[in-house]
Amino acid sequence: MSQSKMSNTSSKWRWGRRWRSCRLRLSSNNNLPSLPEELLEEILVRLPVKSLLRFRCVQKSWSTLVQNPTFIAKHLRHHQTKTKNPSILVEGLDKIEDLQYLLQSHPDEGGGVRVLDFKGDSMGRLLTVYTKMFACINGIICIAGILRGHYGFILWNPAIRKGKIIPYTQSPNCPPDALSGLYFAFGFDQNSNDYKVVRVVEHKKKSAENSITRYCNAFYVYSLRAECWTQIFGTPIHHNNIKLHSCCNEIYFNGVHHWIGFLNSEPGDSYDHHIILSFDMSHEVFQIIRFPDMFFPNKTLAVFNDCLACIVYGINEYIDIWVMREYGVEDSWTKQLVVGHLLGIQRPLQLLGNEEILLVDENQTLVLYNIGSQEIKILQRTGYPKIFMPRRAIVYVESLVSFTGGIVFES
Amino acid sequence: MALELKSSDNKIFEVEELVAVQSETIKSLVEDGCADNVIPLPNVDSKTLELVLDWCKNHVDMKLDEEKLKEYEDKFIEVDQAVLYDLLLAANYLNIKDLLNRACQKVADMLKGKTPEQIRETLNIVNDFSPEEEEEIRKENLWAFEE
Repeated sequence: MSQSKMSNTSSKWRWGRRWRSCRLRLSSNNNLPSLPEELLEEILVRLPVKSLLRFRCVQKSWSTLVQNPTFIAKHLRHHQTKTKNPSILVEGLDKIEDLQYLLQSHPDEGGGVRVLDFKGDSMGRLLTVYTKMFACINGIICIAGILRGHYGFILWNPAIRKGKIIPYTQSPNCPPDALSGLYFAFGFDQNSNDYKVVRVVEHKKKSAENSITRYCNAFYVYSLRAECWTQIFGTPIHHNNIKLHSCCNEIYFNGVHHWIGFLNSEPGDSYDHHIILSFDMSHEVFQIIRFPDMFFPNKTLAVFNDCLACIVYGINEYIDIWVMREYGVEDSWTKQLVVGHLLGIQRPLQLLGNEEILLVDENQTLVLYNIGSQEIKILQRTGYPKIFMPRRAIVYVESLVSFTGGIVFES
Repeated sequence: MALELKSSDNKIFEVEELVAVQSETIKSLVEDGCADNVIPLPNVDSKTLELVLDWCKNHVDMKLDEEKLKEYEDKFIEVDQAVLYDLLLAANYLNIKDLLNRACQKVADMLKGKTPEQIRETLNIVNDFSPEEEEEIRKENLWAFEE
């Protein structure tokens, strides 16, 4: 591209200057007129993270832009509002090897699922065994596992392959304990713009007189800003006998984490009540929400139409989706719709937006069912592991958010 | 009511107000009472203006038919790079949100898989990194350069 051609056009690349108009002349070759800065941003915001990281090399101003917190927030916001074809992260188990895996769906690349392999990068070298994955907040997921021989958490952004370690054996309040029987949550406090991790340590006591097992749970919250763990005392929960459900049907919604558990209230009470135990990340308070009795036998928490929802299944080939129209009001549980008739389906995993439901069939294959069009899409799995049992899934949105040099946040 | 728009190459287009005000720029001129005479658009040539007005007209006509509109939009945006760029700049200048959105997305899709060198060539960008600096950045995210 000759210098004379550059000087003939009066459109030039200028950093820091807003151009609402520019005289353009079409060149007869492949080269196109330079773009005004604000248009460039509008285009870059629509690119996937991998492309943006690659394009840091293009020019100094591009490298600066990709690391700019305002651009990062704009990019996140754009991809969060794109509700068609969301990407999904699925956590599951290879029963033969007894190893956990994280799979990611790639709807823009043919719709298959592949293992999210982090063994190769720096985080993979630290994390030898991982056990659980939690909510995706601003493109960041939380993983619990064994780091350098101790139990801990990693807040990880899979798109930029960067993370931050949160060890928890450091705190004097947290006794070292076995990984089973532990419950965790990952959330975001919108009031203080802080990421938080919650740890529930369960202690069982069998009462001699009436042989009822009492569950005493200790709760610890980690604040990323304060970089420390604190124990939460004196909540109403401590007076209740709650056993959290060990299955993976929790959900993080609207700044609140929700577990499903059993409430064993009175001695002599013959059955346990199924309840939701919620934890508000901002106010750090617990709440118990009851289920109607007809939510039987299996439940998975979900989000539908910006409301807390519950997928109820297990009786026949139909799946009921109940929605709590008014959050916290137990009377407001409403049966929103019935999905079916689905043959060969073992269980639902998650609702994706208001249109699709992710299911697992009898062969442990992931299936996407569109509620409106009733179309079924099979998510082909490529690569290892040979046997994979999906356990839980979350919607995943990519972001450039990292934890070095200031926390970038978006509500 | 009809408006008269003049392209950069002095061609006059007569357009219904309802169609023309899809452009926020033109809409403000109309609201400010400055649209009585011919509205000059020195930054848009006639070829591009014709396309843009076609977009606007179809968005008025097909407003209620989402499927038909989507089909039209998909076909409309399948143009070569040079035309796409003209549309992008015109949509920006005339402030037509849905066209701008569509054109930006199309350009993004075009740039997605390219290497940095290809990007520089396409967008006329001069590389201001030294070879060492560029190598440093590449090393930080080596995996992004693999397929």
